[in-house]
Amino acid sequence: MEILANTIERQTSYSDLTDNMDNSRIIARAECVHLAFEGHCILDDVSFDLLNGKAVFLRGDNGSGKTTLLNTVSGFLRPDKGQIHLNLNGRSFDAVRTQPERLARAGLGRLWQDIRLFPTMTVLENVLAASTGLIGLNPALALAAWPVSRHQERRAREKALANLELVGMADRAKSSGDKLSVGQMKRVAIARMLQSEAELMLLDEPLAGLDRDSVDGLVSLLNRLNQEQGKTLLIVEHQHEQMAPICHETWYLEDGRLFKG
Amino acid sequence: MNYIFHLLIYFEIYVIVAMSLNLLIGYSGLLQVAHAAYYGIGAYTAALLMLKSGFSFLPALAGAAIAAGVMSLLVSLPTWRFRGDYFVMISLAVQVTIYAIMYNWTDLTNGPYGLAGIPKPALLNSIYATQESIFLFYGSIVVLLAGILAVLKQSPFGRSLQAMRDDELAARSVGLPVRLLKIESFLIASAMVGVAGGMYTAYVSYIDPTSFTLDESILMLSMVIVGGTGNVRGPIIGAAVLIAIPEILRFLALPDAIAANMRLLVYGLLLILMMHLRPQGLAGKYRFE
Repeated sequence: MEILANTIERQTSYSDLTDNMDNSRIIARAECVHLAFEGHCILDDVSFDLLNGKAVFLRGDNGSGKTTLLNTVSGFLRPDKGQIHLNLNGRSFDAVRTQPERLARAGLGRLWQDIRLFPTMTVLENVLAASTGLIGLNPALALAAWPVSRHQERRAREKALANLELVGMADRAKSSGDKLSVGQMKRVAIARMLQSEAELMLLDEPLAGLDRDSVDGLVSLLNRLNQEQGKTLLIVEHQHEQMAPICHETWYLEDGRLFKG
Repeated sequence: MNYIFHLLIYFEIYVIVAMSLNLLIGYSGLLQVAHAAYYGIGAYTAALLMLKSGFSFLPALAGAAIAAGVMSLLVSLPTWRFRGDYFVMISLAVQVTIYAIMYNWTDLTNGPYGLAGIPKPALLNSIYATQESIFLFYGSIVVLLAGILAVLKQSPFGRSLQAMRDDELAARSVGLPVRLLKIESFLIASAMVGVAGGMYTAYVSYIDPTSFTLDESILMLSMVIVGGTGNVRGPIIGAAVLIAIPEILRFLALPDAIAANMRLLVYGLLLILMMHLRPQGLAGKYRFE
């Protein structure tokens, strides 16, 4: 195995990087990321380039830092050292200094290990919640420009239903978010990412807790999103046999250090 | 008949109070115990604008909403990160501080002696001096504010509040600006309860700080919890029940000293029973935890 850190030209300036991102379609770049909790090193000098449109399978033992890496890339954790740059839908971001909600609006989707649907909302509302570009999100405009807001809402609803159709959940649109099976919840969570136009999807154990049929269905869905829609996937998973065939690369995290398989 | 209208006017004022608090608790998941303080700011602002600056009723109400809204910004901008118990403690501090200011800033508020001679509600040149006319006038304000809340509830803003209440981390991960949402919901709720304070001050024509104590905040909270959170009808039912209880006790002809304590006892019992038997409230959609 080869340490990814060695493959990065560390002296690359940020402007060079963004040019490079446009040309070689790097969607995420981590440089020497280091993170420790209470003196215990979780991420140790982690560096990588993630190319746009690729599906990457991230493996590692429990506690090796996989979820922490996803949290760091998505802006929920700030590393002690190092840089993470994202190029989402043509815009560049310093993920270390950008709020996670802003990264999400720019095109970073997140599937949580515990899924995190909104339990008191219907499936359709869960997906609609990711429509963050609507003017009705501003209460003053929701009142003052009510007809425009309603029109936008109708279009967002159509898009949400189309996304639910894509993940095979359109027939459950009116069901409550907490009345679904684990597999169905994960499909809704993926539809939620699609609603927010996520270009880079970080998926934390998407196959956990699923039966064989559900695993096959979800793997097939992720493959379609990658192959047909060009979504970039960074997938943390333990089920190697199911996930490896649809991924372009496999990365390993061991004691906080990242290796390429 | 005047007695019935008197109760109905109080009911209208408290419906606005409970609906505004429900926006915080039921829709946004933010528990606060300082609502009476913002109510008091609205009441004092409206009273001072009418008494000292010669404002008529509606501009004074607008001033009350602005003053309560500005105060909410002063509190929510530096404290938006706090959640749960910490947030409750901050709101408790706000309640106590604002009450102390009302009580001690005698040059402005006249301290414990209060402000008297506040003009009755009026629209343009017509002054609503009778109970019936005030009831109808206030009723139209309640309908207007309930309509605004209903539109907001159905809008993407309302849905985003609900998402934030359900799971703040998930809301952030789908791109919802939770900091802004908290500040906005606080602003709207405070401005709305400021309006209720202005309506109260014009109706009773006299205010002093004892109407805006922590007890009053707890009464407001009880209305929302008993009635139920997360929809419009819950707070309306809660306001009706909590206004009716002391009036029913009044007919039991208890001595004054006992009646006041009895009221608190009944409120406490009611809250305990609700938490055990129906945590989502009488007509609530959402179970606040």
